[in-house]
Amino acid sequence: MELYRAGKALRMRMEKAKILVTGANGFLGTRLVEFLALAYRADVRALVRDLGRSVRLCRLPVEILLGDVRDERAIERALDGCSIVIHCASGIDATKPHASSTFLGTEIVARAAHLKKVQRFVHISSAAVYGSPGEVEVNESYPLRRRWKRDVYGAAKIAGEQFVHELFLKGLCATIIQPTIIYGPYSAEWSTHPLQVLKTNDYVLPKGGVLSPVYVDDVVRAIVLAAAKPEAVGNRYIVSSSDSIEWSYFYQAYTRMGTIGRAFAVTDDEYSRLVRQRKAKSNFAALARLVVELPEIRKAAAANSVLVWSYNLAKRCLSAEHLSQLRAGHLRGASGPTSRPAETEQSAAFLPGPGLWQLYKSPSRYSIEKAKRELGYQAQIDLKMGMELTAEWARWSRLI
Amino acid sequence: MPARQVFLPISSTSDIPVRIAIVGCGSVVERFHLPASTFVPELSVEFLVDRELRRATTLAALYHVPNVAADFREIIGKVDAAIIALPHNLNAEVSRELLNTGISVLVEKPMAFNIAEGQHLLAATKHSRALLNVGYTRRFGYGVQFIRRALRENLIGRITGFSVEDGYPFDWKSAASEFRLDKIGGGGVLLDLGSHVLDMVMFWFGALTVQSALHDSLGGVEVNAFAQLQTPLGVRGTVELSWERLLRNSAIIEGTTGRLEVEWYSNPATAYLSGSMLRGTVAPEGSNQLVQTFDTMFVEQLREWVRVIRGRSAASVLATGGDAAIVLELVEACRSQGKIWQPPWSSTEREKLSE
Repeated sequence: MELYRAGKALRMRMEKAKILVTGANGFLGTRLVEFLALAYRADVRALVRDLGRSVRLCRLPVEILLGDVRDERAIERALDGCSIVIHCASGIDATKPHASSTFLGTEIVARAAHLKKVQRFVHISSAAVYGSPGEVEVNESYPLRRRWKRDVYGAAKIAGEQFVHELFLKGLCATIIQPTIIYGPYSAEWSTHPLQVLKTNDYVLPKGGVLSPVYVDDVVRAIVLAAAKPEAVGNRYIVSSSDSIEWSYFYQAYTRMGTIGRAFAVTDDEYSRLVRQRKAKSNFAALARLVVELPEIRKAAAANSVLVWSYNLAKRCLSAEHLSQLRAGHLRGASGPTSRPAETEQSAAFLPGPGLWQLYKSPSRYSIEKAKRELGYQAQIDLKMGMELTAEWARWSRLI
Repeated sequence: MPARQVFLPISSTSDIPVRIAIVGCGSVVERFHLPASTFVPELSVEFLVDRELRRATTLAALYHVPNVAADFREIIGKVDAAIIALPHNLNAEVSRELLNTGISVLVEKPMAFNIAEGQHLLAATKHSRALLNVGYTRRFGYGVQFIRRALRENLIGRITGFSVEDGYPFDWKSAASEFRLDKIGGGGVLLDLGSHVLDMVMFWFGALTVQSALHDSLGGVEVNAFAQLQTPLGVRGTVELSWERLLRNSAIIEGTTGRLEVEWYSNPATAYLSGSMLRGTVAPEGSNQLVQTFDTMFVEQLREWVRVIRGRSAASVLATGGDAAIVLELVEACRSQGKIWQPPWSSTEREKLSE
């Protein structure tokens, strides 16, 4: 009912105004535009940085505008005639974090929105701004801090929130939305990536880490509520589903879609051992590849005891199958199989990098009480339904 | 409309290169047409035309093109033929104007935005000596030609069905700042990618009719489309197109004595023939090159175009304006007969339920 009222209020407001959505061709941005245009029949201006990567938006009856959120003039043009701004654009360049969309872009868009005196500014941040405070239930009163020392993403999101908050103090009608892990169709990080890995490989996860996944449509609903409700101004809201689950449980939902790979949890020690093993094996494989593929290296190898030793060692370490693959690669031009090659062969388990491992290990849970209380937010799509929709999309996209 | 001009015919025996202009200096020109032109000594690029004159000048310096212009009308009377590679919504208008002045045209697909525009364009060729050809470059692909030959030579017996899939996540890096895929400038997957694919299927089977179609346009343009088609011999098959999914990117043709699959994005193009369990590359006989890239397909297209406009041969592979008009009709039929498909994950119906 809350959402219906909010939708109605938004629609009434939208009759007089246009909504600018930045980062509109992103995973969340596109779904938001889809909702605004189709469910709420809103007049939407979708700002994108790359028209060639905006095909999903082209299906919709919306105005697509080319522009970079870091370009003040482009933002001025984009804001013309818009009285609601939903700022979804985000992008991090680790080498120049201060010039990235999440950092500089947020500053420029928020400042321009303030100057234009827009009716409402909804900034999409992230629950990552609370860092990894340990085994607690995080709520909006927790201090903002980075998850780890080089958490560029978290730092930029914190800076973005600070800009928006400063402008709120100067009169910008701003609300901040802090989603947790958003999954669902087209989510590159939390749906496509696991499916691509699990299609053929196992996925190694830490024991004990939890997440609060939220289906993309529920985040969109929270944004609509935030844009419509007057009491949302000046507030930040964590948006998630009601439940926290273990990462291995979340990834097992993908394996149930019919992948070959499995998701399983290991201890930190086991993870370190697997990483060391993988590193050693890949060095040997690279060396073996050089010896097998390049005649000049083979010649040198015959006269060089170190290379002969390395080659023999590589032969001992690598499976016969792996070696024959390397040789087959070398003997290109020989007759191949008489039918399409199968794509279902299983290879080594996927080991997340150190940053991702840290994230997977976090035991923090997130409270959505404030969003429930003040916005009337309620997650409508549970994990079972969300995964069913995601599976349907994944089959259609031929990810599985 | 500019005054009609009379040109001396381009002599079929003359060794003087055909003078051409390239109108539009976007990515397709930079990546394909201009490099291809350097391999065809029978033509000489005299003009590059682009509204962004700076871009035309940069490319002209790179390819030693003597003249640039911001307005295509400046080439009239100065060239024999022109390649038109403009945004989809401008192709027909500019081509028509040039045909009316006697300049032969090779226009990038789609030659027009809709059937009416296409008919106007065809009408312009009726009273002109100038020729209209369309850049359905895929016809020059080894795999596409292999299928045509296999069908003619009954390699797999009587054809009983076909399935063609073409799709990949769209990521065209456009050089033009105003490049658009939407209703204003692009026209959707059926008009863009579909033009190529439908032309290719007609190149094999002849004119097709639409039995049923699905597409996902929700007030914009379609990004995914599916059509059931029928050949003049009553064979039914399907075409699936996507700008957001990686599809099979091959044609499967079923016959009474075998099944042929040809992939066109693999290089060299590969065919699988199930009847006799053969797999092989499909370079034409006599060719010493197995590998064929899009670049070489553009070179072959330009070579045939020059032969055609010099009157030395009729188009055997090169698409004519008439071929392209039939493709436009097919695109229109897919749209008008097509049902709108909204997948469950993109539905916003749940929102109404919650009311």
